[in-house]
Amino acid sequence: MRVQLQQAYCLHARRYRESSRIVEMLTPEHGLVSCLGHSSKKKNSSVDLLFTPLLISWSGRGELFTLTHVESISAKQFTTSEVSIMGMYLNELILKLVPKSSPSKEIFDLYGNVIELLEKGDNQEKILRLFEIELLELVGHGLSLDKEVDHETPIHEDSFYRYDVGLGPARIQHENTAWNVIKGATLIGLQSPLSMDASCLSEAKRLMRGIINWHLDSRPLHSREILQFMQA
Amino acid sequence: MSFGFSGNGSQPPSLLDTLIDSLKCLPGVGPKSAQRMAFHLLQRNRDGAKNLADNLNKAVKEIGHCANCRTFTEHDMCVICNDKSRLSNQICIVESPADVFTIEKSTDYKGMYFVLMGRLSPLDGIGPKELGLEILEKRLTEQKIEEMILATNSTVEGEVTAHVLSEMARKQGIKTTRLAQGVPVGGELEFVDQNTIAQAFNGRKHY
Repeated sequence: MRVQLQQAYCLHARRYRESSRIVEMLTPEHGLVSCLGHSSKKKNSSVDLLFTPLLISWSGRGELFTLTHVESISAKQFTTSEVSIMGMYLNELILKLVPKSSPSKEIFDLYGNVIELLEKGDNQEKILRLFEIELLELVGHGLSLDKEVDHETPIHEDSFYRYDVGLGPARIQHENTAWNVIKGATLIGLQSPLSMDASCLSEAKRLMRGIINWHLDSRPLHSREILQFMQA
Repeated sequence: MSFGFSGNGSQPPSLLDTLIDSLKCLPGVGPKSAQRMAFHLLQRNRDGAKNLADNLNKAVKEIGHCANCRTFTEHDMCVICNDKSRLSNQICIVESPADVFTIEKSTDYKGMYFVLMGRLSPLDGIGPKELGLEILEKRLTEQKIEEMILATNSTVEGEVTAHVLSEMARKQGIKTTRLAQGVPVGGELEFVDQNTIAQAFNGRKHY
């Protein structure tokens, strides 16, 4: 197989031998692609530029392809390291949640848009929630945020709900401290995360963290550990 | 893997095969180079081979990490940490012991070091714990450090690591500095990549 000048984002690069790297690329038409690239050669010098839109060509067969060309479309990279950590979180989520052989232009576009939004620097927490919700939707784990488990009763702002992954929110009488017990207002807020009320943010974060953990089967997210270490 | 020195395939691999296979663990050494090395040692330099084997064995058994800076040493503390003439109020943070050697060889830096043995890389499973940041934090609290020099690599992971370290230092009121980035000595602008030019331009200084 030979693919020419495909748009891509590099999600991860790890060293392989002296001057080569194995890179995980996110592409719109071929989904996640693993490639072997030579990082020292001039033509592939941008092989592991994270968060930068790239044009790549590759060839080969099987699961690991050979990168034959890489160029960055723009020199854009995150300007602050704080945003880079958030970017690493996006990358880790994609690599752990998206099945390898599922081409999805929607996931590629979502990633590109979220990278741009993060770079602009406003409401980063809301942007991360937007990414989590949309990514889960695109990989088939969409959340039910507007109706109760019976698919009919609408969510009420002032009521409390227990969110069961895979089923949806069920109304409960009293608030408790379980990770999946949240206010109706938070569920309504998560329907459009970018305009979510600031008072719902911490509850939304707790809920999304729990749901993602559930889908990851409690495999740790190391980028989250870094964010937590910094906030400690 | 058999290199054909074991006779027919039913016999266990010969010593020579095992030696060649073992040499392949070195970076950049494939079957062909490994075979050349093995023959060279056996044919021309048996004393050298014995010496190499003894030293390798000893090094692997005895070399551990410095309790203070985590670089390689066979003692509790490395030579640099034991040197009382060095400035204890400066600490330079590097990713690997090789970086300590490079800085020692090329600069007149006389402060202390801390070797991370890697960089924050979530997808490789390397977080704050794996880099010994707790040991560093303790050192920052207990020793009188005035400047932390961030000498991690200029990759996304290296920058993120530097950022996390600078936040740690900021909480303790310690000044942080970062190695300058720009056009390499002897380099021509035309052949330098866009990001490096941008860094060099933003970091220009009085001349």
